[in-house]
Amino acid sequence: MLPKKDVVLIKHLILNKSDEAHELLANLHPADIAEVLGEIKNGNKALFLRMMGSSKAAEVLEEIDPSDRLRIMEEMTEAETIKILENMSVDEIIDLFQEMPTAQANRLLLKLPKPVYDKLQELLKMAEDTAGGLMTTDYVYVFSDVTVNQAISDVRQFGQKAETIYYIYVVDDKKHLQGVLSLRELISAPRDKKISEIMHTKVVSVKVDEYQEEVARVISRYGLLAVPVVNEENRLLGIVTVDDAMEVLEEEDTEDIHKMAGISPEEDELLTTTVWGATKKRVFWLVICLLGEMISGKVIDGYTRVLESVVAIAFFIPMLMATGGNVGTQSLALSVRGLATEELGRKNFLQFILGETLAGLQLGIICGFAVSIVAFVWQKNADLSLALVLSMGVSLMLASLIGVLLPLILDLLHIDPAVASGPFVTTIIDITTLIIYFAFSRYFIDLISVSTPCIPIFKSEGVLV
Amino acid sequence: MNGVEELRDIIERQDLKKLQTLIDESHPVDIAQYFDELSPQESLVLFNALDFDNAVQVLEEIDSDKKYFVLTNVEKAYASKLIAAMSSDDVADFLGDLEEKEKQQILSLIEKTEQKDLEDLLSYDKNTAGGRMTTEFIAFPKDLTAKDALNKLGQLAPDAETIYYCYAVDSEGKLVGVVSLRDLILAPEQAPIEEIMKTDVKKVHVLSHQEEVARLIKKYGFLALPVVDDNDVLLGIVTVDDAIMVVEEETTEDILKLSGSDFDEKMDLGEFSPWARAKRRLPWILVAIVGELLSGRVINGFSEALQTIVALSLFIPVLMAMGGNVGTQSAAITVRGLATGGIEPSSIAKNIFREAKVGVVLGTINGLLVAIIAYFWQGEVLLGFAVGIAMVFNLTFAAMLGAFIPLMWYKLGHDPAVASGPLVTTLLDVLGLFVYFSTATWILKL
Repeated sequence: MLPKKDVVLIKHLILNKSDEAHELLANLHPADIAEVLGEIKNGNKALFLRMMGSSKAAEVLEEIDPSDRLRIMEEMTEAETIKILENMSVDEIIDLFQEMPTAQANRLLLKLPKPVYDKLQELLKMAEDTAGGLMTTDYVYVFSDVTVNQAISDVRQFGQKAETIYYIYVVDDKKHLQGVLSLRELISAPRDKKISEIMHTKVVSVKVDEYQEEVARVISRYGLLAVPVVNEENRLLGIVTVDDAMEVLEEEDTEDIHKMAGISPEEDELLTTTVWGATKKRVFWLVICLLGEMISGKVIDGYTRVLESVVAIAFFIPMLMATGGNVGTQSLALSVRGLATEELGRKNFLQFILGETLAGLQLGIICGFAVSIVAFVWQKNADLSLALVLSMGVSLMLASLIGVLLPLILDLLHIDPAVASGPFVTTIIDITTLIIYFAFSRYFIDLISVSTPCIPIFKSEGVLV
Repeated sequence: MNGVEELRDIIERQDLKKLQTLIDESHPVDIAQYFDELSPQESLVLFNALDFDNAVQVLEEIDSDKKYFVLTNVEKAYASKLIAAMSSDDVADFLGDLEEKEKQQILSLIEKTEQKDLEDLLSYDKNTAGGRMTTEFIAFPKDLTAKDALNKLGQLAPDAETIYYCYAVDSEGKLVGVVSLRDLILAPEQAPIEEIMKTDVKKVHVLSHQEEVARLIKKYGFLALPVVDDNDVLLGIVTVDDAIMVVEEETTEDILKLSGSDFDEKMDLGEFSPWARAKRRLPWILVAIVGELLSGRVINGFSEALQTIVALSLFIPVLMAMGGNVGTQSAAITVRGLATGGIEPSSIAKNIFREAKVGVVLGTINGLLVAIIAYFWQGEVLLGFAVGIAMVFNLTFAAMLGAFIPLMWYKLGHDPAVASGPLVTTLLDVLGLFVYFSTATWILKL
């Protein structure tokens, strides 16, 4: 992040069209220029971009959100726009076009040079959230039968515009992916060797229709700078680079966290949404849970007789429900995240479920005893304490089990495990917890009401506080 | 994963030829995954079948226990060679995981000069730039020519973590510029590095938090970021693959902390030790229980009202749960917003106000819904009215509190995710129940 006074200075220099501005802009990183650009009034932004070469301007625009990008480009003439587009990488142009009205995109598309046009046409057909939508076609490839020397000069020649020249992909004459070489290996190899002799044939690649999260995971798992994208016949179509992968991972992480809290995912930015937009994302699971909690109410309704005779039972409803919900959400978090980062493979499912259930039971026993002691001191009712300890033990064990099991089941059914949101799981747990609590309470406290004088004592206590 | 069964079978039958084909077909990262499931003895057979390059890559991937077992069970000379070939940040992480005695044993396999570097790396906190960096970077004096640099690069390449960025330093080791391999290759041969390097170098201080490192790498789309000390002397680099790991780790941390679990980076989500798991979660659960006993106290205070109209208790669960849900949603949005930079932490009031507006709308929708249900279920208009009003208040307050708690932690210099879920829920339960019963006694004139 640039210091505030630098931003002010740069703004000043540029808006006054000072000569220093040209030099300054040439030395600044595009991401930093983009930051300054964000602070400039609409209407002056085009002026700013005109101060730099069109290739630099393209780099700066690539750093800006596609929707903001569009607004800036509207300030420029079409000729200027085309010039900048020519310098942009293809995947970024696609992002931009997807934000534009179709008519405008088509008009611009037709004015682009033929090779760019062809590539774009093909990419536009692919879904946005797959490898195809994420990839760029600006990469370096060489044929398997050329020499190292020839390959190096190919890299020099075609590398100028490539997104990365650090991985060189080796193809046959039909562009089937044969192997891969790093630039490091290429420049340290003997110049007269054939590429096919030194290339790696174990190439990690992804299919063009692979979901973007999986593409990002592949790059992260193998520690790659880029991954090649191929079609069914193993023909090389493009590459996805590590910087795009990082963005995808961040997007998907946000989606997971939001889904877990019962917020429906949407493309639009967090803060630009209106109150109504933010509400819409959240209201769905809330209404489901509201209806679910009516079942909890129904459970209490079924036991009103118990409650009427011993009001103190109600005092512990919040504590039991909340603890069940907390423990269940913790298990849920472990389970959803374990699946997302692949730390939880199919192989250790059973172990994991068993471990969580036992952890829940242990928590239940500890919390149960703690609570029953407090309850005894407070209410002087041994049977109520007994009911509490047992309910806590069983309900926390079940809470863990439900929290951990639901995402795993969804995953097996090929539904995104994060859909099992916290609110949803909490609602189910609330219902089970209340059933367990009232069942134990009725069993133990009914027994006592005929044989010991505990109830009168407790009644006077109950009204007291 | 039936691959493991097949692999076990091959190892048991000692079918070395088949083992070799299997290895040839698999990526080292995938081979490393098998190690998780194989017994130590089986792992050793598999490891011994790997050639040197593969062995190094596999070694960098497997967990520290297995690493230790393998390295202490192969020939000493071979083990030394393997460790020398591993990147220094991986070796340092590995040493950090070991007991003192084991650490000395491994250190004895490492050359004296290297030992010093590793000790330095080990002295940095794991969550800082220093803890994440590797010392195997490429740096040239700034007056070297492009041609000489390229030649030197050829010799240095095998040891370096990445050769795609070369850093230029002055005579005191201060970082003055950076050249990408791409620029170096395309530059005139006699040009000194000084002329082709970029002088606007993005860098981090060695004690910066790892989140900051990952954020910079992501922002600028770098493959690596240089790490410097107070005097700008270049100490190491953090590469993009480590940055990705940091991002993922921080997200896991946020998700677990949000639900009130403790987190540390050594933790394996699939690990089987119920007690270890229970312990991580217990503290905040107990805090929440104490809070919820207060909720019980609130009900206790209104038990007369409750005894007069038992139906009041039917809506305790829905009010509590809905408040908790909205609070958790707001907390999730705020925590994530702070992590990705989408939320500006300076204006707490603005953020809370924004959430409050959403809370009012959500409260109105759900309040109406629950009031109607209450009316039809219990046939009592005033009861429906009381429940509805309590709902509006609860959800509005829930949204505000959900935004406030993470922001408060942030301002206090803590991780905003810490136990936001349980804290918000507990506070809300106490307050929500109080509001509910107060409204009910007032409206129903109890």
